[in-house]
Amino acid sequence: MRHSSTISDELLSAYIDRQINEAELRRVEKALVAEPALQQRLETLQATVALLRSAPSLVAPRTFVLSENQALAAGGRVRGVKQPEFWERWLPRLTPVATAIIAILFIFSIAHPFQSIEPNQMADGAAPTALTNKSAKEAQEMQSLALEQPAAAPRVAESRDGAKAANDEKPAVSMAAASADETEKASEAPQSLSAEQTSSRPEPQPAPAGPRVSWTTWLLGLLLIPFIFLTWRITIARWRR
Amino acid sequence: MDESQLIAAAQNGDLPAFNQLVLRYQNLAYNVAYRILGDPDRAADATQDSFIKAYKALRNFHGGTFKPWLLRIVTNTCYDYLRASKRKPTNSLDDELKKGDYNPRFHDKGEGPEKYVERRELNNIIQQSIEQLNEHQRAVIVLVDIQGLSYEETADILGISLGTVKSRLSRARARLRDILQEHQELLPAQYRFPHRENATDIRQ
Repeated sequence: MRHSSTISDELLSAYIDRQINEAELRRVEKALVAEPALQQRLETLQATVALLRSAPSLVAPRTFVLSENQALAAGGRVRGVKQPEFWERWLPRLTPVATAIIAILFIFSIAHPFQSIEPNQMADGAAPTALTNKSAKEAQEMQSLALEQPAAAPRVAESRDGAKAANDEKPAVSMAAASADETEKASEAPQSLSAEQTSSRPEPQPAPAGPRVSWTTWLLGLLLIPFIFLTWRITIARWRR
Repeated sequence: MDESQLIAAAQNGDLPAFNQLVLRYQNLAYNVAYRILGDPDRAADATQDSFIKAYKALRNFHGGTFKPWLLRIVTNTCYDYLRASKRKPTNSLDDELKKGDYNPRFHDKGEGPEKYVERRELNNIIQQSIEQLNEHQRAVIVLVDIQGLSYEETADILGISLGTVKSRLSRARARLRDILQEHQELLPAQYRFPHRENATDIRQ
């Protein structure tokens, strides 16, 4: 509210509660005599305060005494009651989180199976997921080397069918792309790589038909079962409480 | 057992001793929560939460007076409730009065039905006027004018200076005066404002 008086509402409010010093008290009382409007403001403010102070007192709708469970759940200690162990307090909180993480990893492992980088487990043309940039680069070099091998092929072609030799080289290309260790060895002496060496390598195993489930997926799946069970039990226990 | 003994016992894990304190202060705590929140159910929840917090924090209570310490927890819990609910802007007093569904329980004074209805209406008007204030003004007006605490106690409870208490209180009172003046026909006769001949001088 705006007013023309020199006495503010704050001073007037403090005057009602006598929360002002002597100088302010004299100033207010002097102004009250001189200004009828100020007197009116004081009266309405006093009526407001009186109304508020007459507000009925309420009865609490129920009692708020704490049960042992409430006190313990709040982290307080209760004499005569064993404090829950650390794992008893934290297991109910961590289990749902752990279940969610394992479930996500499980779904991820099904969608993108964790592949071993061992060469004899690689499918033809499968890109190794764990290859570093360095080994990928080396693998590319190996690929280009292997593609240049047809120059040495005629020596091999004496005893073999040309088409078979070509077929033998293709697995060598994929093998080179797969194994970082072998790539390093090959890059140490690329010139010594001959068609005989290439052809003497074991035949790559064909990729098994159907979706492949890695051991990691199995492990996550097995872990998920007890975690889901624990989460279910904890949820039921909370509902009952 | 006096209060300090109950507090000492409760600090040692004596839950019945703490519950004695709860019984002593539960009406006060509920009243403060109800006046700040304006909803009986939420006020009950806030009161319960406050006592749970108080029990947990009791080990940090190093002497002094229990009442302001407890009321600090209650007001902070009410602030949390107000912020959490992100309340809609309060409706006008007329709209609130039309609802007429507030039914808090009053202390039984052995009065007749007419007096009871009058007190209930008075309570509704006061409560709905308080709800027009912001949360800080509400807390100050509830503690000083409704609960009758001193400025010093209020400053201690709310963690603010005396000057801030004075300024918030004066703004809250002035705002309530304006609201109640607009609806003074709803007030019981003894609470109506003095007749104003120079209204224009006051409200310029």
